[in-house]
Amino acid sequence: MSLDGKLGPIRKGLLEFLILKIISADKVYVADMLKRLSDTEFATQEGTLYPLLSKMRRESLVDYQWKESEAGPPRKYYKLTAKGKSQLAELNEYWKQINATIDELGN
Amino acid sequence: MNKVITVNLNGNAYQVEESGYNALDEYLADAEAKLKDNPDLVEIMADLEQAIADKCNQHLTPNKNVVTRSEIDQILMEMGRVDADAGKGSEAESEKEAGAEDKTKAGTGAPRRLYLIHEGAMIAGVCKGLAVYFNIDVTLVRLAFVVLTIVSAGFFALVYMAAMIIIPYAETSEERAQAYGLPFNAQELVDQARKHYANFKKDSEEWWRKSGPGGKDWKEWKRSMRRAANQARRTARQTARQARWWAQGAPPPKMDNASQIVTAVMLPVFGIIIAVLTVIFILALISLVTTGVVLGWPVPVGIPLWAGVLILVVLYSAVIGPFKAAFRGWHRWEGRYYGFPAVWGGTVWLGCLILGFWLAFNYVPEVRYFVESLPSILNDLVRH
Repeated sequence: MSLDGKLGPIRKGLLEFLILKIISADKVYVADMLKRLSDTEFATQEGTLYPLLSKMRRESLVDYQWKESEAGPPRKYYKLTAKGKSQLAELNEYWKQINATIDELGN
Repeated sequence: MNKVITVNLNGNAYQVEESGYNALDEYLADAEAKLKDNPDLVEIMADLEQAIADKCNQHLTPNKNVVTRSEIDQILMEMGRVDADAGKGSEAESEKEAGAEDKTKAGTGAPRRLYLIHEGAMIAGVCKGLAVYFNIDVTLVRLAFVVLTIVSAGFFALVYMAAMIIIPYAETSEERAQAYGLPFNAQELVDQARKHYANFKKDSEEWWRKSGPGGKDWKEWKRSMRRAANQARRTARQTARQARWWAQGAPPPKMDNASQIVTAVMLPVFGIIIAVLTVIFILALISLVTTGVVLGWPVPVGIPLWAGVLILVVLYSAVIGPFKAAFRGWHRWEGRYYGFPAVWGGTVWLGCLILGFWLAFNYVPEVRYFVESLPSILNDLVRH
């Protein structure tokens, strides 16, 4: 298995975490999310993001409201729900733990 | 020179080169196939179409109004193939979780919708539907209705009748599931009311600002019409999906020719009986409201108008109930709710209803008088 083949699933698994992080910083449109991720290792596309967001909404982690935009039709404007916030806090905590564990084992 | 095809992307028209159209069509069909088990299929498809539309806009200028094949290819590359897994994730797990928390949540995360529920209904299932919708005891709703009817001098009996006509009946199990939907509690209700009020306040403020000279009202209106059209389109698609779902549901029992003929004969018979009863009911209602006499029977002294109306509604529901059940039963004989029996039965039923009204309007002076004085009667009732 190539290195990328191993890293792919890791990135995929972390995408939801990152989306929670981005939305928690500020209410955002999908285009903003794509832009924020575009220069990172986690660059993604609409084809992935829309199904993911709809799943997160079904799990009531995020919610959206329609907002008029300057040009064109109204857009979905995403924000975190209370459940989303608490899950993000848990994930943050877990992520710190993982990092600590990895550092420890390396020494 | 290339042929151009006009496509509708989430409610907006775009002109695309023919080969580009094929690529686009293939992409969307692939997306739909991959998401076919996703409960948010319709919404995601609309999102994807909108994203493609936005990207098309970037390639268009006042002097260039066709999206070329190469541009479509680039757009689709940017979009990326739809990742069905991203929408699934830990779905199975979360469903288990939801099931443990609350059985009524079961899978569909859709918000609940208001339906008439015939199971356990007294009249038409309005109170039962409301009770389920607000997650309160049905007895409380009935009590509220009775009290409100008395307090409002019968006006709420009309509200009940209106609800009976307007609110759809939860027919498929999918609709029944939707009727029970997500748990609905008082806190959410208060939150929603607060949110709606805030939105309303904001909107009305904006409206005042915009409706000044050179306001953007027209644009707003156009936009809202477009949104409404989108919504209608989405609903239509949903309905089609539901119909398909229903069609794939229970396998229809095989029918021989004899029972098909019986169905074809019996359906209209029941349809006519229901139509006749409905016409009689409405005539009785009309004569009660206008003259205080029900088809020749004077209403006993001391019974107010609203009570008379209520009694009439209950009587009508009780009489017509078995016929409606039989009618529905015959429909189901075919194994499906739609198709030939529904169209045939429905047409006959509608025909009889219209014929009955036409005859009544022309030959019963009371009816003509009632229809002509309807506005003032309604006024009186409200003012009571």
